[in-house]
Amino acid sequence: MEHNKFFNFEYQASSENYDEFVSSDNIVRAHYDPLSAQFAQYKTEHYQKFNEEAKLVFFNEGITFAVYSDNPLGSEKIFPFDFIPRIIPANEWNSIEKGIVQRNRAINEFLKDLYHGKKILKDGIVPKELIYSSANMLSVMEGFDPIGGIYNHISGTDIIRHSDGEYYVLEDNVRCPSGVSYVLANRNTLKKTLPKLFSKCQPQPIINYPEKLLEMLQSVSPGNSHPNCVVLSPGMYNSAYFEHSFLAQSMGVELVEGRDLFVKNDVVYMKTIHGSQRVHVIYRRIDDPFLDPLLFNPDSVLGTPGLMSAYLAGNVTLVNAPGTGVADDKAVYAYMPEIIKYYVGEEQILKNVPTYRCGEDDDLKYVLENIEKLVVKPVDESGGYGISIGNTLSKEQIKEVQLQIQQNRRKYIAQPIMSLSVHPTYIEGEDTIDARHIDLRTFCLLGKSTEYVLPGGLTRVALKKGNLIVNSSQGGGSKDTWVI
Amino acid sequence: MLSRIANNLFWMGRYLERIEHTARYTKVNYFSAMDAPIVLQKDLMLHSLLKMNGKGLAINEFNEQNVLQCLSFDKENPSSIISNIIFARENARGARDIISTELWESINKYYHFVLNYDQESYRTTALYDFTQNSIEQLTIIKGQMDGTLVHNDAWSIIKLGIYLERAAQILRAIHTKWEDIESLKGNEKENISILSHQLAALMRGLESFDMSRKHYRRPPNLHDSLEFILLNDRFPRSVLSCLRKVTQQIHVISAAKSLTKDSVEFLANKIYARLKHLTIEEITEDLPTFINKTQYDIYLIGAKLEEEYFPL
Repeated sequence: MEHNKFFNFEYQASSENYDEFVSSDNIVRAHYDPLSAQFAQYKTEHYQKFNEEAKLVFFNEGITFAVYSDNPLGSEKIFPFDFIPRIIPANEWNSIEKGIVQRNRAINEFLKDLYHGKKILKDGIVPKELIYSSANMLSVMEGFDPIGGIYNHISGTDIIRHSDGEYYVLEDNVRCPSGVSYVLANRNTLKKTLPKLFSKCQPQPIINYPEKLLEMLQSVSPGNSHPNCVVLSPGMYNSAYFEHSFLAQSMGVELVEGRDLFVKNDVVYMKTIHGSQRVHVIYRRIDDPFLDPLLFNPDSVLGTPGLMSAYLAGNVTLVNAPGTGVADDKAVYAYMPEIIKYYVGEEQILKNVPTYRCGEDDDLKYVLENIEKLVVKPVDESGGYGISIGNTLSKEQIKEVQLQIQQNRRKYIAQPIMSLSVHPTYIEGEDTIDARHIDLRTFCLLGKSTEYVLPGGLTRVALKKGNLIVNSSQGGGSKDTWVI
Repeated sequence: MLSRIANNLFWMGRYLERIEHTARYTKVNYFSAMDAPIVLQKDLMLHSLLKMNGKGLAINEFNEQNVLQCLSFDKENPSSIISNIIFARENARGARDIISTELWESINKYYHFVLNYDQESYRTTALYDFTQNSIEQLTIIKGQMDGTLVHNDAWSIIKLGIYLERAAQILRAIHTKWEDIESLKGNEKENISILSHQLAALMRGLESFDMSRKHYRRPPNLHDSLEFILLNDRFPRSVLSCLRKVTQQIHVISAAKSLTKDSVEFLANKIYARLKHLTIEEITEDLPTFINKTQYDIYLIGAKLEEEYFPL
């Protein structure tokens, strides 16, 4: 292990992982030079101050997320924020951006095909059973044409950098990907904390995301020159409520809950102080099963009765379209290289992590024999729940995982343990700067003839040493991400 | 604007206004009792604080620390300062996309101030600091309200909550002080210095002491004081002025509709007009009845407003 004084600290670069900041021969990577130079002027007290200042900004602005619990008072937490930004050079970013667009366009075509002719299944590219066994395939969407032909209007592709220095897509999120408000909040906070560094580096702006989002929403409105777009939230006790209200506020549209809406003659209205007002586009942040108690979960109070029939009558647009979940299933993920080639006619730009599908006999055999080398994931869980990382398991735990897989083969996939790249991160309490694992959630918008990728995205950081799971519900934090 | 959000904002205004009145009434009466002309003033004062807050305490729990705790930090007491700021912030959070960042931050900041306040020191030494800070932070919150919101329906609805609640609180303060004075023993009631002491506390609790003196240019008396806080249309802490603003704000939000006899606008206009043409002599003929009647009128306006514009 080499020691360096890049931060007036002993920064210990990682030998087995890709370090975003220093190369394997311990030289600061060129795109981090300005940051390195600036940070060399700081001492421990400065870091403490930056950290406190950044926390205070979040605290005063009430930028919090809720942890599920029944005490509404004690449950709001600040999303941990690390003030050392992650930097992605513009040339690398250009290729990531192209890869994201390529991938999400392909997913959109895939969805259109699944809900129409199902050519890809007939051609035997993706196995039929995989799709028909998926709980996320919605039969009501068969033959329906969403406006502009768009299904996954908003996609959150998760990307990591492996020890080979290459970027890989870890997950596609095309239901209701969250986190973009933290990207904007992080940027805002860091501007206040490190203004000098900011003006020196001039990262690509992200401030216009809400405009781009509104533009996209308006582009898929069912015929009205002044469409009424709304954000539909499960309400203020949802963990992502801050984001829902932030997006509504920054787009200047209403934030509604299911109970604010009603459907009459297949048209959606909202209840206002001056009576009812028609709604054209709903950016919904509630999952398919809760959208409409008439069609899905009859116990749900989150949605609006009749919403789906208004949607299928073409009188309102739901963003994202219902039924997109069939495409971001982790078992479908394994076929992404083929899916891209099939619809776009190109090789994938962003790599896929090799994936073993426990539903298939050969793959299952390999997985059961090599659990210690693999990450086993349920195909239908989010938030990092239910993941087993092979090299951290005891013998008994391995047996348990083997049993779980055999009981429900379709439910699990396995991938080699990818080593997420590391990044210098301030460690609160120890007042040091140390390497921690990071990933990147990106945000891609597809509208009727509009497309946009937010430069950078949300860099999530696993604050616990050695931890690979970066989700906020599992103790992860985030960083501002600069494309320069 | 969504009806549900309108309801949130209306009550946010009411909760915030309650905080200010609780804080000021507590501060003024607590300190004025320290140099009161009679000995038993302290218990009288503590009872007065509870009455103003609408809260009772069991006799065996009645002591200074418990009373002060109950008014400010008792989450079980829905009228305590802490309960009100929790409710107000909750409502602000529910309308986060409607209100400005500045207004939200000022409310959020005060919320954290109350939640993190050292309650032990408040009960023993820091009552002034806590109540004074509360009053000042509420002033900031209202400043952000007026200075950073578009003066549209949302703003009008918050202001409706504030003015209705203020009118209710003024009446409540008068009612409480009236009972304080009534509870004095016969010879104390005749004692001019005790009476003027209570009157000064009433007026200071409504931040109207200096201004009424300037207005009347003579030593305060019951008649002048009541006239000032009930009927002076130019003084922002009078019931009449609050009701006038209520009618104005209702007119703003109902602009699209024509005035019907069963509307809240009609009702508020009628109540305002009636009060405007009352004299203080008529009122003081039977003050308790007047207070009761006007409190009920204010309740009616609030209920009708909710029913007409933002039913839950």
